[in-house]
Amino acid sequence: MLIDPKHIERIKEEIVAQYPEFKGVEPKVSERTVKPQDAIYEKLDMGVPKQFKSIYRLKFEITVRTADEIPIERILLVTLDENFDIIKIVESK
Amino acid sequence: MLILSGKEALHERIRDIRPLEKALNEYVESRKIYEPVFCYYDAPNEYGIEPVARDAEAIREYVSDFEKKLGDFDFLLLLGGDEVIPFFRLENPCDDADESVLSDNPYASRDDNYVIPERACSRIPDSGNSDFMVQQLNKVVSRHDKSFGLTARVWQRSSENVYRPIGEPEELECTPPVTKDKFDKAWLQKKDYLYFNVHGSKLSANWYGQEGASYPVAMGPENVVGSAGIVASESCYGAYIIEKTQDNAISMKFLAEPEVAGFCGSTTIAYGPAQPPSSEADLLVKYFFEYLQQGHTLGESLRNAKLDFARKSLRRHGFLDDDDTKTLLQFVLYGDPTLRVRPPQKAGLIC
Repeated sequence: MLIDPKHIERIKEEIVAQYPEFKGVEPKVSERTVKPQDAIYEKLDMGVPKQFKSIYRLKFEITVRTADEIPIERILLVTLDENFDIIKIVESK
Repeated sequence: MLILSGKEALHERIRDIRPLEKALNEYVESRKIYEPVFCYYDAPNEYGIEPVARDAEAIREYVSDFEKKLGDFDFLLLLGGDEVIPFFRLENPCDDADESVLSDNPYASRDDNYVIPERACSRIPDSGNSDFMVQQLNKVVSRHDKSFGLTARVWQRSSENVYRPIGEPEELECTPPVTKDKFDKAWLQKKDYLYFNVHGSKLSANWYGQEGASYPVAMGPENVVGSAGIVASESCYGAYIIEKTQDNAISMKFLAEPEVAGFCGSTTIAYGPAQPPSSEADLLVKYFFEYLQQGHTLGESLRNAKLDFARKSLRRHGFLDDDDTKTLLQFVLYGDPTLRVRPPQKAGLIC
């Protein structure tokens, strides 16, 4: 299912509010289908894996310079569930 | 416990291997409880296992052959840096600048599902220096009941969550205002744990803070002189040691300090949240500290932290996503895996 541009705009607004350094950055949007990870569940002695899941990923990326002029790639990843709700935001260290 | 190295590559790196072999003999004697066995993967051995070339897959096979002959072992100590025992170059699950993920996870795993390790695995880098390696084998842990933590200002709240198992959140120093010039060396001395949640780059020996668009130099190798404790760093490339020495890698500089017993960090770009709850690097390091506090060894603590990290991520979302997977693969441990900060906890008696 394609992600509606209105969801992208909503998320961009949320991100800029929380992470102003990513203002003006257009995210790279991707969709992934996560297959059931049976082998991992089995190895961890966990129950039955959940079924196929679709997730969406918005990647915001900028290059910044440190005080001593070292370039650092700054990545902010926003993961959405099938309902386009944010389930996770992480950034590179 | 299996202790593994490559004779030819080690000889090329440190020249005279005799002092290391002597130290290894003493180490093996002192760790009898772990039933340690030392061997070179590229030399004949008494167990009839065919020597192999300096190739990660072949060395992993060699480890597997060893287990088939001698039975399962819980601990694996890799002696040497990438030139001696190569890191695995695994496909990078994340869309970022890393061509591959440098990892020791496949050495720690008995099957091909090596995101989840079974063995407590660590590495003693060589730093091109026999004394450096001998020093790691002779280290002991002194207990101080104090910790230190340094976080980028923007990650203060998430860092507090990680630091809680080892200290009071209000003890955390933030960068800024902390910078390399204002860094107090005493912060790192006489501690059990040293925690860092800062930026890093493989182009620089320094680690960096952040506040908004400002990225000050938080610390460099020269700031760690006299430090003590177990180090855990979430910085990108915190454990990246390819062609690095103690002069241009903080991880190696820490290990060169006599009272630093181990270093846990990431070989590549690492990820974490800006706010609680802990995930990715934050969650892994938090679990690492919790297991150390419970009296587990360094090696067990990282292995168990990875298992708990995977379980938690699966319970939260039902799957491990790209950055969860990368986190599990990229964190490595340097130092003696059998060291521990706290005495092992005994099972309670029911009277």
